[in-house]
Amino acid sequence: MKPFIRLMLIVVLVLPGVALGAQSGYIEVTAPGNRQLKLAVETPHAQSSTSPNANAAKEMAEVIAFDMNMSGTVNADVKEPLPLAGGLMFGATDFAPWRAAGNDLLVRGEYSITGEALTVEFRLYDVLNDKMLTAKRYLGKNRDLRRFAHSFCDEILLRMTGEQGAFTTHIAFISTQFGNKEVAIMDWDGRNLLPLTRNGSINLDPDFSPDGREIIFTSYKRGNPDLYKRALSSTVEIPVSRRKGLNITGAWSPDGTKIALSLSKDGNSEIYTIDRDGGNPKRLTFNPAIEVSPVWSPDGSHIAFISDRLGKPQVFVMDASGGNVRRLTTAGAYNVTPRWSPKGDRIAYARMGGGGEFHIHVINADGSGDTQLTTAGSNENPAWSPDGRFIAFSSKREGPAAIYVMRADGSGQVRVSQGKGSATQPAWGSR
Amino acid sequence: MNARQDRHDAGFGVSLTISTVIHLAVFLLLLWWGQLFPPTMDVQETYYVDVVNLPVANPRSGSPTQKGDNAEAPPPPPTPEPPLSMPSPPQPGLKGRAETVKKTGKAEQNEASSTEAFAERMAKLENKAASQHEEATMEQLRKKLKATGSGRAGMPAGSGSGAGSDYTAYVFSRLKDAFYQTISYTSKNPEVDVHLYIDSDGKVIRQKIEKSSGDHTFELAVLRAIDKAGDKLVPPPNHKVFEGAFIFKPQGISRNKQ
Repeated sequence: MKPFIRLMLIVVLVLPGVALGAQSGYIEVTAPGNRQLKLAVETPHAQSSTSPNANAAKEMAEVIAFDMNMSGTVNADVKEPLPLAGGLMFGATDFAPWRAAGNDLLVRGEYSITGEALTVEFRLYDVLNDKMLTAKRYLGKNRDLRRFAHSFCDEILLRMTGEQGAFTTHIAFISTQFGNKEVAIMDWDGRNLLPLTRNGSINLDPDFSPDGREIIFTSYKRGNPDLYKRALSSTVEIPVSRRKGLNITGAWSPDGTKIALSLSKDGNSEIYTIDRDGGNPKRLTFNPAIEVSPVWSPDGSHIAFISDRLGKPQVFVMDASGGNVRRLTTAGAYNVTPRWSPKGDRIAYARMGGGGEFHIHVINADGSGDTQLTTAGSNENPAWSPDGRFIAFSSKREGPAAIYVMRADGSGQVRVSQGKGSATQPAWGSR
Repeated sequence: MNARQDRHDAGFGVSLTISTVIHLAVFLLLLWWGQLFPPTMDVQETYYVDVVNLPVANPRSGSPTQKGDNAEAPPPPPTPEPPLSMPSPPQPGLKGRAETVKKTGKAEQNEASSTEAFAERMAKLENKAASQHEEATMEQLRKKLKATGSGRAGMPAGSGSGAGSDYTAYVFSRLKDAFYQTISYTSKNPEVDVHLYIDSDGKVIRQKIEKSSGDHTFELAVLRAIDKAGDKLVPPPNHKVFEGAFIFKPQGISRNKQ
């Protein structure tokens, strides 16, 4: 017994020492600053067997450079192609000129266009280490050209940050370009604009289903603001809630089984949840004030909404069952349109300033860290990208309302919607 | 079937005969041509020099070669004298050997007259041999240095992989230089703890992230720095696998701030 106890004592005394020794053996390697990596996007090469299409090549390079610049992770520039003998597959890339130009990363591509068929291959290289980081080949039609470039940017971001990008996603919004206020859809960068509704009425508050295949929106096409649903692949608008009074500001639950919305069937507008087909309404708020704009937390456990129960509209949070209501925003006299971030840590909303203009703010889910993100013009209706990297919003800073996109920290604000008319109430689709 | 078997091929014998006749005719023609025009070309002087075992001799003291007639009784080697025309390091393997130069029979007649030219040629050859020997010595030295892990000017030859050892300091220095070029992060207090293994050839064989603050961009920056630093590392001392532990973080950010 004694030897055993002695052994245990030795183990107890010696092991911590060994562990401490191992920890102290670490050597600290530090470097100053935070470099923004420089990405060269070489205009893709045409495969030797096919005829080159300079416009297509340039467009792909520009899409990649735009996406990556917007991501904020790199500083991307389109570069003229350097010789690529042997093609992308068998040719060897000489990194020396790219390195000499100060680049850290390089995107090289090769494409072939035969009739309507498009084949593109992209590769991301680490110029510093002469190493390929990722590569993808895409097969499709000519119309997929931009989508392929966006898709490769998702891969680049995944390789660099560990999180896939949202560059292939879409933004739905309300546009007056096609007559009245119609629901339209576009790529995240504003291209490929398509009208979804053509009912000639007023349509408001679009929201994507979690799988990205359906959209709900409020429409006045039958006179009353009713909630409708339609698949992106169909033109049929299915009524979801046509109850008396308001059926507005619908929001899909994260699992897609329920919809939270504001109904005024009982007098004043209150927050309800209904099933995805419109049945089984459940009232969550009981207050004589106006309650609108419910949004779900990403885990579906909470709902944020707007209520003027304290005199002015403010952001409130409650459990998804309706209990435990608490005020979130304490500053500002008029706070509206909350949107919960995909990671659940923050909520974006629009606050009206002293001059009547609105600005986008973000606040932590616990009510701390309220930060203003916009300063120019009047900005409303924030909508998070599915990866939480960007916020889309509508702004009147250049005249008629248009859709803008910025990074979640407020940097890199850029207009993305194009065309005539106003564009408001963006909703960002899922991946 | 039988008809095919009965067929007899008589072509080979005829071809052989014709070929023999033609060859014979050509041979006779060449023989006749040689009698008409006998070869009258002078045989050129040819020297065969064993450059590896070149004799050490002063070219001014005369030829170190021996004449063909005296091959049975080689003269004693010439007295070594300090070279006047070409300074060279001591070359023990290059002591005089008289058999190294041969001459043809005709060349013997011109030997006396061409002593000066020969001496000059010898000087050149000796110079060449000396440079070869010097190159061989340098190569040996390079191999030796490579084997001891000190192949580069300023590279450490110390042993050990603990903090403060020469090789650890060397790896740290390489990592730091590379990290300057790659550092990039997206979080407030990024930090990555890495275990690094370098094999006996100086190649990074494993890089294990022991702990990370979760900033993938920073992790990538660290891995890129290791890649960069690991390029052309000198081998660890005594050709043992080196294991080192490093904490990467931006300058000025305290480790315990998170």
